[in-house]
Amino acid sequence: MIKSLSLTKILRYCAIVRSIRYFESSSQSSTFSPESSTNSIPQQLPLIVSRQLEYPHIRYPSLQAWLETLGQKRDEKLGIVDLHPSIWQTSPRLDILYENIEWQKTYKTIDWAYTPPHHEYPNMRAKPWPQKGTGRARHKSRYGPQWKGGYKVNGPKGPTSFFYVLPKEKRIEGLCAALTVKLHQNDVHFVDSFDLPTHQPTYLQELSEDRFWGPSILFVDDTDIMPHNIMFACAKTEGFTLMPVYGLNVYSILKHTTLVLTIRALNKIEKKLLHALHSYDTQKDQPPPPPDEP
Amino acid sequence: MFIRSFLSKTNSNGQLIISIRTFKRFGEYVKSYGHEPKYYQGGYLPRTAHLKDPPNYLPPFIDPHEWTLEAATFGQNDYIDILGDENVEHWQLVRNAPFWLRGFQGNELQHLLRRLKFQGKYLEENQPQRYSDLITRIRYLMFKINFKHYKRPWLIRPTVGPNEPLPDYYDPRSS
Repeated sequence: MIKSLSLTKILRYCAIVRSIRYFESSSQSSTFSPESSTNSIPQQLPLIVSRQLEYPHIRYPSLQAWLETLGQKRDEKLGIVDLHPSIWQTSPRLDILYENIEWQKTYKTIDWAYTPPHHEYPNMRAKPWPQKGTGRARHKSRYGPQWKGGYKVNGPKGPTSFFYVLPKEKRIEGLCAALTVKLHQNDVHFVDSFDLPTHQPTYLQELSEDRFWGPSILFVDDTDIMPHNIMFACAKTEGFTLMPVYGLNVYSILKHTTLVLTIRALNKIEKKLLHALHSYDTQKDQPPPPPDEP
Repeated sequence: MFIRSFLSKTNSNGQLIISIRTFKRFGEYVKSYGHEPKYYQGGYLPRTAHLKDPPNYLPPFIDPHEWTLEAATFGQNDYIDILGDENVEHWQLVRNAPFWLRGFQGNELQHLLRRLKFQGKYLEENQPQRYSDLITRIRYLMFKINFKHYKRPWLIRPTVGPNEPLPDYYDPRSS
């Protein structure tokens, strides 16, 4: 699987090398049990040297990235992770990113602005003064548009919704483009798990400062349930957010400067996106809402 | 009257220099060079309370609250269709919409007709003024879109006696 990287590079960066274990992880099962990696690095390194990918790309080989830890402050690499080029090496389509972000911003908004028309104003339809005789302008009612406190002619009317659903292909393309952009700007980091030794938020803050991980970080894990230490640390720091895989979206990826994924999250993301990229659902993009109740 | 006065002084080399100065009446010194500014050079003046001249303060700082939980997790489940449960639909994710606008988009007339469909019966019995406003606005838009300008036919409503049956079709251009 490794074509560009040599063994000497791995030996140079790994602190301890007892024996090189060749891991072949399927997309469904995780590479190692999460219970083992609690506040300590396993003795045998590297943990991952290769990963089996579904739907291998015809033209491009797999990309490689370092596997890091949050269990200790010192930046030691645990191995190398293979990445699928269909997701992590697509074209950086800014127009698709823009469309995704605009959709996310507008499709949930409701404009509550309302300017009542003339017939909803108080029923004072009397002429304020006669048509002629007084030296003043001629008026029909006290609530015309030219009066102070009068109605607005073509103003907003009522709650308006801007709901629409972007096609599935564009959303998938948007996710892949956002991930490529982040990876190729060195803002994506892969981590074995989110197990921290302490619950102090200063630990994570200093760790991120030492490694230049940026002021805002998005931590993505497989499931909703996260370890207590990282939950406490992220709740107390501004800019650190935790998210499961199903909550990932283009707006959050681009709002946070760095993206930190676990291996389990990476497996799940790749599985879902590759399945979506290689399936044809032209007619059933979005099921229609239930029929209107009378 | 100019008063001439003679002054004598010596320079560094010990040479005698005689200079002539002239004064005006009230002690002003006359010069054939230079510039005397005639504007106030004293400093900041006091701000009088009786004049409406408040100071220009900087605008107040409005905290944008970019990293509250709501703002940091904005758009969180928009791609759940792809990355999670396939059966979730996006009209279910819109939480702050009135119940007749969930998963709906259209122009103003379509919004109003949908509201009438969902809420017409309730409004007719419980909130008659709102019902009246709604149907008036619908009639206005229908006539504006479909007919040329007439004498406000959307305000004319059909009147039927107590024992007469309702008409099937009402042409507003008849009255």
